Amino acid sequence: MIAFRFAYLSFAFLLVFTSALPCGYSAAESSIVDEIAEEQLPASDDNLTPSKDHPGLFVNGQGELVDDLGTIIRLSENKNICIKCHYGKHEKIVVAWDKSKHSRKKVLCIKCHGGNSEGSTLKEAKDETKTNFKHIKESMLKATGDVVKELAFDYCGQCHGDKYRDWEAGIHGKRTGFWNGEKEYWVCIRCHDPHNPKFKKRVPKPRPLKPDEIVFKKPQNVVVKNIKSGK
Amino acid sequence: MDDKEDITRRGFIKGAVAGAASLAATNCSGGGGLGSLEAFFQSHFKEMDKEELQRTLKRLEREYSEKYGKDFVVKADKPIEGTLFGYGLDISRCIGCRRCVYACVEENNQSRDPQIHWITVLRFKKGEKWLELEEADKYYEAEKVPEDGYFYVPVSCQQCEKAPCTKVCPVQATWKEPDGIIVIDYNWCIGCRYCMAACPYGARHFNLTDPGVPAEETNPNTHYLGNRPRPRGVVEKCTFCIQRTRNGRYPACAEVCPAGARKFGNLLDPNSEIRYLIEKKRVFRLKEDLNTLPKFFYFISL
Amino acid sequence: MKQKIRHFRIAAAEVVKGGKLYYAWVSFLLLMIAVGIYAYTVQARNGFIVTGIRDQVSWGFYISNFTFLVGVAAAAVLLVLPAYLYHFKPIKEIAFLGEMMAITAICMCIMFVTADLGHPERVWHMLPFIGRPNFPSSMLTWDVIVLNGYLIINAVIFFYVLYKIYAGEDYSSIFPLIILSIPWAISIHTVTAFLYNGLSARPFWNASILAPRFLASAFCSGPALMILVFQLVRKLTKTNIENAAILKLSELIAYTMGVNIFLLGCEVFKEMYTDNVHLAPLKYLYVGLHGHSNLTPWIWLATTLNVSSFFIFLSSRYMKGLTLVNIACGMTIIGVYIEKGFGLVIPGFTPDTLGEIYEYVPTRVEVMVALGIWAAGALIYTLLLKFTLPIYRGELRHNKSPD
Repeated sequence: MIAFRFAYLSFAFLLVFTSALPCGYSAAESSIVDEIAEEQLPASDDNLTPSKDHPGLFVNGQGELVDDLGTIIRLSENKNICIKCHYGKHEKIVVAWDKSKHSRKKVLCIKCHGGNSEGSTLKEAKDETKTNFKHIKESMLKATGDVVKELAFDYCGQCHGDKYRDWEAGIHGKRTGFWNGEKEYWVCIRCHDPHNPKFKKRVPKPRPLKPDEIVFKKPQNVVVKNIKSGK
Repeated sequence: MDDKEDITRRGFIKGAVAGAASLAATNCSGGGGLGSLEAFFQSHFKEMDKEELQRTLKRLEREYSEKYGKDFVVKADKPIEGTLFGYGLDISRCIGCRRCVYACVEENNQSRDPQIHWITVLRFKKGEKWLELEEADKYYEAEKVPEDGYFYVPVSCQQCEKAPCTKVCPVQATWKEPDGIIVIDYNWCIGCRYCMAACPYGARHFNLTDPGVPAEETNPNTHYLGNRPRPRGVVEKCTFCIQRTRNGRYPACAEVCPAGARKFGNLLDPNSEIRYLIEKKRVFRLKEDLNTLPKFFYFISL
Repeated sequence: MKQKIRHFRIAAAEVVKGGKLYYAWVSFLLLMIAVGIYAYTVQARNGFIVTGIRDQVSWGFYISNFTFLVGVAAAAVLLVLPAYLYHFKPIKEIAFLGEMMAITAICMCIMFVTADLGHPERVWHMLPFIGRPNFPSSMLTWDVIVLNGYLIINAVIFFYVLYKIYAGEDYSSIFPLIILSIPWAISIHTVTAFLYNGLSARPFWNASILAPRFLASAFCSGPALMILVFQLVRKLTKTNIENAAILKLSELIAYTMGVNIFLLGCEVFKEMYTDNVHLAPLKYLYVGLHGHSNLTPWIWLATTLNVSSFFIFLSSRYMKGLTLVNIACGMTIIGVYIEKGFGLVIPGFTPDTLGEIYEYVPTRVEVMVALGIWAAGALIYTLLLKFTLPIYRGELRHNKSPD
């Protein structure tokens, strides 16, 4: 057993180490992703069947996800549990989030994806997530009027009070439409990716021409009006 | 498709005729005929009665439609009562991507060749001096912006309340409208460029030759005092997108800004965005020591 | 009356009479004018893109020449003052040559400004009643008024005095207009200085010393040009011009050049010592800025010429011949032409209001147009001279046969 554990840990370590390398990870940096990798333990209870969707976890008779000891996993107990499984599929998002301020300030997946996650099991969370995910992305992007403000407050404004205040006043973020009428409020996630909220860098448009680059060219595109009538 | 072919065919003929026509044309307005004679004797915008104004707008619409092969609308919307436009620019948010520059070019039919930009984005180094214009670089090129260690300040017409440019114009071809926009009557400007010498913000630009705007890129919704195609030899500048803002819309630069750094509104409305930022944020204006009282407010929201 | 018309015809006929040298000179001028007109059509056809002017430097060679020539025109007052107020005879005899120079210079000024307009056909917009002159707000409208007023005053005085001399009558009734022309001459150059001076956007010009500097430099370059022209006229037309007049003028230049250098020194001190951001244009001019220094050799040449000519003029009274004075005159003209033309206009725009440095260089088109206008000026002066001389020399008088 000891030999197996050793082999497993070595493998896990190697896995994390290599997968982290191209992302510019320093091996010394202890991130949540690393911690999770180390937490992965094999099953010891033979009554459980390994979960197909959640490698490393098991499904008990009731269809609830459990750990190797058969304990039902609740989000309130292990807030990083999502990453454990979704790391592979959403590596980019997870890595970006892990580097972001949201990670440092412990704004975890369930904050947005899980809705009210206190005490809910993974199965419940999964169902919740499906609706919530839709709720955020679609409702937030499509909503109009006061609903937008509510959503912006619920998801972002609770922490970012100052930004929310400015945004509501139209000073932070973008607004389009009419300065004296109907405006479209650009909700937070239209500009900020919640997994990596820092505003993205982008490619600038070309620089203006220098005065000595503005030169006389023999007229070729000169458009002379009224060609038809020859006036 | 037919249209396109027609345009190229016409373009070819135009090219051929252009040489002869430009040789024949003694000056500037390009072309001859009754239209240009009418243009020559046209009154100052403020002195036109309703009838002459309508006639002039129709003439211009006809001229532009023929020139660019699509229907142009030239309006002369009056200022909205009780408005005084103000602009706010958050320099803590501006990323220097120049989206505004090119949105402005497209909206306002600026000449592509020779190039005219109404907005200049200046790049400053952080930490050394504050807005030391001599250290500014408007020709920065970067793979991605914002670059570390720099901040960006876009400059266009500041729509001064005490505008030095209107003061010096010898023919009153440029003036401040009741809603605070400084406009130019392109059919009245004599091209002396005194206003360019007087402007402290480099906001005025001269049409060195016939502005080159590809017909398919023209914006046909125009205002007489704003984005209608200009003749050569006249000065032009930002008008806060007069054709949009007098109909309640945001200026093109404000709508395109991906960082939402650009704010626009009515200074006389206490609930407007612009009033909020002036009252709540740290605001400054460029070259305040010159007492030009710009209605363009730079602010810092961080 | 018949005789008057006949005499006018005789005087006018003088214009087309002349030796080979005269014809060569006039045809040369006509050729240069043709070159200028050709260059102007290139500009008119293609727009200002064929010039060196861009948004960063929106005034160039034309306005530089204009500024210099306003000074030349104003300098006529230096002849009018001693001639009519102090009745200094040697100068009174040649005052008409100065008035002619003023008339010519103003004509050239008008041509230079017109060449600088994007829409010269719209100048009527500046006229009262049919246009919308921005008076009194715009200094340019003031400039139009004072320049045209000066042209009219000088033309009236010149032709009235000419006629009275011809008729053998007393011309003192024109005296009030002559008195008026003195402050008017000061005003044309003051207003031209104010044209630049009033722009807070351009710290290089926004110095209250500008108008005095303009006058001082005008009062050295104008008379210097006159001294050279007078001697040419004397040599070529056998007109009597006393050396006393020339020496008086050179003495005047010594003073005005002294003042000019002093005022420049004041300006340089103020900028250099305070050493704030407004120093940039002066730095660009004298030592170069961020590696841009096109104007530096020129301004040092101008400064050297001005300072050395000052010492020559100072000692001119101890000299026997006029050679050295003539050389000094040439130096002054070139010195002031650079200092007040390029040296004044271009640094006002460099660096521009957003700190950009664009080194303006006039294109061939601009130089050719300017040459044409100078030739036109020379032609106007030549023809006026030809027309006037028979009357001034006493060959044509009323009730007297021209033979």
